[in-house]
Amino acid sequence: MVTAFRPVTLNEALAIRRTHGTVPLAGGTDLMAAAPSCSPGRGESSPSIMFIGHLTELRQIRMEQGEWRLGAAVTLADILDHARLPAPLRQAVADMASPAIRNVATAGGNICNASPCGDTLPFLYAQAARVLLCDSGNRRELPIERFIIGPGKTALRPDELLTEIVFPAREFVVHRHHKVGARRANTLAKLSFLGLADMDAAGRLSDIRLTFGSVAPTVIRAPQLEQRLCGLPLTEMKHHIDEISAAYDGLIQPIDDQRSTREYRKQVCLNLLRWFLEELIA
Amino acid sequence: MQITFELNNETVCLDVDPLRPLLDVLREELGLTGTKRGCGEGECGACAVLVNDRLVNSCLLPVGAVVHGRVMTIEGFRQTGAYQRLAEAFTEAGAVQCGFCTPGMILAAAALLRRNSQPDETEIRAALAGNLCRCTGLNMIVEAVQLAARRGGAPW
Ligand SMILES: Cc1cc2nc3c(=O)[nH]c(=O)nc-3n(C[C@H](O)[C@H](O)[C@H](O)COP(=O)(O)OP(=O)(O)OC[C@H]3O[C@@H](n4cnc5c(N)ncnc54)[C@H](O)[C@@H]3O)c2cc1C
Ligand code: FES
Repeated sequence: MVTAFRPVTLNEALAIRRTHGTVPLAGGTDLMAAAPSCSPGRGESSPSIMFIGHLTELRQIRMEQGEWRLGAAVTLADILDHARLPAPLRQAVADMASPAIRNVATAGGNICNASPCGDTLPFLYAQAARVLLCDSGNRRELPIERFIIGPGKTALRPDELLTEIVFPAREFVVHRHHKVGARRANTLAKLSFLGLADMDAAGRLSDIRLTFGSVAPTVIRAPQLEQRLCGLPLTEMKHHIDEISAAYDGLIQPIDDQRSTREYRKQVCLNLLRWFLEELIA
Repeated sequence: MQITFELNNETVCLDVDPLRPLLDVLREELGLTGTKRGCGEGECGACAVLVNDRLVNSCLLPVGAVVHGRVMTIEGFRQTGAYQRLAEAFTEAGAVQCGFCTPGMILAAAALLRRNSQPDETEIRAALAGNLCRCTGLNMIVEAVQLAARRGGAPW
């Protein structure tokens, strides 16, 4: 029987993490699915595990000083139930898994799993989200793109827990999210696209965020390309679509795998990008 | 590890590996075989139970995660008026064939109707999206839920 901890408070959890370096289990939908016939962490050299999904400190959804703060153990269902959270995040979550999975899967688990097809990630990259990491003495914040290093790899230290996800409570006038998969429910994305945009009173594009999921080891976002579009009058956008599309063509380098092919992924990404930009003009 | 939780309105206390899936504990330790194992990896919903009134796939849920929680399986749900209403509707609509998905379907329908007593077809399909049926093609199950909702008055 593997050692399991069930701390009552976050402080207790952090103390356990410091002394035992145990594997945190939030909803367990990734950990348990990774080892369906036996439980995670089984075997001689198996590390211990620690339940953290029930910790109330990690289950809060708060708005503070113009920023949303989501506890790491907030479930996907909690996000759907919270009508004031940004629509593009709730839409991405609605397209994830199934009701029964969303009732236990957590926001922090989706981030720490660091899968190229993690469906909350494109939104978090687009919003320049930060993650709050705590150990028993210190806390630090990292931008999401520095926390996620590659598939399954994060900057989390062995004595830390991800405690909060922070992003500006900033709504965009235009938002489009597309997840392309083999079926609607319980499907991992072949690719996904999220576009956010704002216009000013003079009809110029004042802000734009473009992210692509499942087509690279981590989410693709290129602020330098977004900057090239910012400030453009929408009436001139059509002269720039080919050029921007060509720039993203160079950037999006997906792979072939059992879910999809490189060509399909890239072409659909570019189509969705073009569609989004054309829609802005219309 | 000593694990205490409420199961079908009774307190149970077990000494089990907290990482064991709740499904295995229900079926093998407690003899509650109404909850089925289909895929064992969260895809089919045959193992669905209610935990604190919410639908959960018990094959992916370590039993240590339900400590102090309220678990309702199809055996417990059978005692309710809501079950009677759903069972009648499923029978009338021809929504039961081999029966393997039925406990999960009934609990998924119950979880939906508890939150939304007059769901439209899109809402019903979304609520049943994680429950697979290989016999009926799902349409009869959607009709059964519509029928149960239309009759109203049930204590969801
Ligand atoms: C049937 C099925 C369908 C799915 N569909 C989708 C989908 O459509 N889109 C998608 O993106 N994902 C999907 N998933 C994957 C999974 O459900 C999500 O990634 C989920 O958000 C993981 O959360 P969890 O709490 O269950 O993670 P867990 O399994 O508890 O943890 C995942 C990893 O994160 C670590 N961890 C968790 N919380 C913390 C923390 N606070 N601090 C430090 N480390 C932590 C754990 O140690 C583990 O390494 C699916 C899974 C299944 C089984
Ligand atoms: S057996 Fe649990 S979802 Fe299939």
